[in-house]
Amino acid sequence: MKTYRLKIKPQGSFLTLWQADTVFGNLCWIMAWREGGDTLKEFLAEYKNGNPAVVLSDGMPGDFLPSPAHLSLVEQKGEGFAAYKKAKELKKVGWLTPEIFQSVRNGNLDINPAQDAKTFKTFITLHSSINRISGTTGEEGSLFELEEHALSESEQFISIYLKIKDGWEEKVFALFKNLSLTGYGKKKSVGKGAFDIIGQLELFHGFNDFKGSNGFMSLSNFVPAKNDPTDGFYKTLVKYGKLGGEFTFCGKPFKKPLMMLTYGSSFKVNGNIKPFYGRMVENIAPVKSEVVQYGYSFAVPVRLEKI
Amino acid sequence: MKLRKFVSITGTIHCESGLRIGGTKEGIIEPGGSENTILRHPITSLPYIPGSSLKGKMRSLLETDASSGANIDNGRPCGCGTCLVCKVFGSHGMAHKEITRILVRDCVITDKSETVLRTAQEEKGVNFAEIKSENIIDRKSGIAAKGGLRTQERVPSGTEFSMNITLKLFDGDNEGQIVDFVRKGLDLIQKDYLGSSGSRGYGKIKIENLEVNDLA
Ligand SMILES: [Zn+2]
Repeated sequence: MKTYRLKIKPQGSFLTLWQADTVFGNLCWIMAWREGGDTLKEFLAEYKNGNPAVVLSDGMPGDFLPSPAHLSLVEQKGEGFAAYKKAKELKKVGWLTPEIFQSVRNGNLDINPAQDAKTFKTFITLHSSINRISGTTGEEGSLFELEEHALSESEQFISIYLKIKDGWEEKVFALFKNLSLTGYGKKKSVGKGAFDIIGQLELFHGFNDFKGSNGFMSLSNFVPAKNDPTDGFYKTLVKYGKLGGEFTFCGKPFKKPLMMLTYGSSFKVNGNIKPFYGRMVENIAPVKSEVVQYGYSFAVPVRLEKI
Repeated sequence: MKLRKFVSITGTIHCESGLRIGGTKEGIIEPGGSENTILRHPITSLPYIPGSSLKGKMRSLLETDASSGANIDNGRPCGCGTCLVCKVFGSHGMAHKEITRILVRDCVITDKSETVLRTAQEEKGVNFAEIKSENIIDRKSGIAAKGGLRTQERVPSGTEFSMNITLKLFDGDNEGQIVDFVRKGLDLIQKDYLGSSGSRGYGKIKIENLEVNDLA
C-alpha cells in the first residue's frame, strides 16, 4: 500500500461531515451504480477478510492534522498550576500544523500550537417549502432548520489521506471523480456537499515510519478489531448511521447505534506498526443484512512516551 | 440500478429585477443593517442563490403544471413516486421512493458581477445589495401608515449568477424527456419569479447561455 493525499474543494456548505466511514459508504454506492451490485459485493468481501483495497482518513482542513488524544494527558502528569493550565490549553487544540504534527509524532509533546486555528465552522440555516396551492413559503409547519458546516476562509481545501493497494489508484480516483459529480452526503440534490477535486492523487510521505516509533495514531474514526492493541488513549463517539442510496427507501433506513473510537486516538504497539487497524462491522442494519459499516483505522506511526 | 451517465445543464441567471432570497437570524448574516437581509454565503459573504431555492421553485411550478401528473391536493410536495416530478426531483412520500436524478448546485455570483458590486461597495458603500424601503399605505387616510415602513435587502437588478445543474441518468431513463422536463422547469421560473415578493415585481430572472452537455 502507498499513501496518497487527495485535495477536495467544497463549493459551499455541507451537512455531512467528512468522516472516513461516510465517505466510504458514498463511494460504495457509486461503485454499485456504475459497476453493479456484484462488483461491490466482491470489493466488500475483501474488507471483511481484513484485506482492504483502500483505507481512508477523515477529511482534514487544508494541511492541518489532528492533535493526538495523548497530548493533553502528558502535561497532566506534571505538577502544579502551570502543568494543569497547559494541559487544559492542549485539550482545546484540535488541529496541528504539519511541522508541529511531525514533532509530536516523534514524541516531542512540549509544543506551542496556535489555539485559534480556524478550520471548519458550523451554523444553522432556516428553510421552508413552497405551498403548492398558495405558491408561498413560510406557513406553519413548513419551516425547518439545518445544521450546516463549511470550511473556514483561511483554508482552501479538505485533505483526505488514502492508503491504496497497488493497482487500485485509478479506480479509487475514478470513484471520487464520480462522487464529485453526484455530491456528498445529505441534501446533495440541492447542492449541499458539492465539491471539486483539485489535481490528482498525490503521493504523500509525511506518515512514514521512523526509528523509535512504538505506537500508532488514527486519522479516522474506527472500530477496533479483536486483536488490535488496547493500551492507549482515545475518545469515543456514537454513530447513528443511516443507509444510503436506494436503501434509504427500505422503510427502516437506520443502522444500529455504533460506538467508534475517534480520529486522534493513539495506541501502543509491540513490534511492527501496521498500515491500518480496525475492521468492518457486520449485522449493523436490521432490515438489510448485507449492509456493513466501515470501521478501519488509518494508522500513522508515532512515538508514545510512558504516561 | 445502473448509472449510465451524467448530464450537466449550465447557464447564467440574469436578474431582471431585484432579487430577494431571505437570510436567517442565526449564523449567516452580520448583525445590524437591514432587518430583512438577504442570504449570504457563509464563507465569502457574497449573495448567492441556494440550490434549494432554484430546485424548490422549479419543482413546485412543475407540479402545478397540468401535464406533470403530480398530486398536490394538500399543497405539499407530491409523494406519489410515479410521476415525472417525483422521478426527477425525488419523491416526498415514503412509498415508491426514487433516486433523485437532479442535483442543483448553489448559484454563485459571476466574476463579472462580483467586480461590479465590489466597485459599488468601494465607491458608494453598497454592500452587494440594495436596500429597498416599502411603505404600507393606510387604506383610510391614503398616506403611509405609522410604523409601516419596512426595509428589504435585494440583490440589484443586472446581477448575474452561474447556474449548475447535474442529472444522473440510469439505464431505462428517457434522457430527452428528463432534460426537456428540467428545461421546462427553468422556463416556468422565467415566466414566474424566484425568491420572495414576486407579486411586487421582485425576482424576475432570465437564463442565458443555457448549455446541455454530457459529463461522463
Ligand atoms: Zn409524484
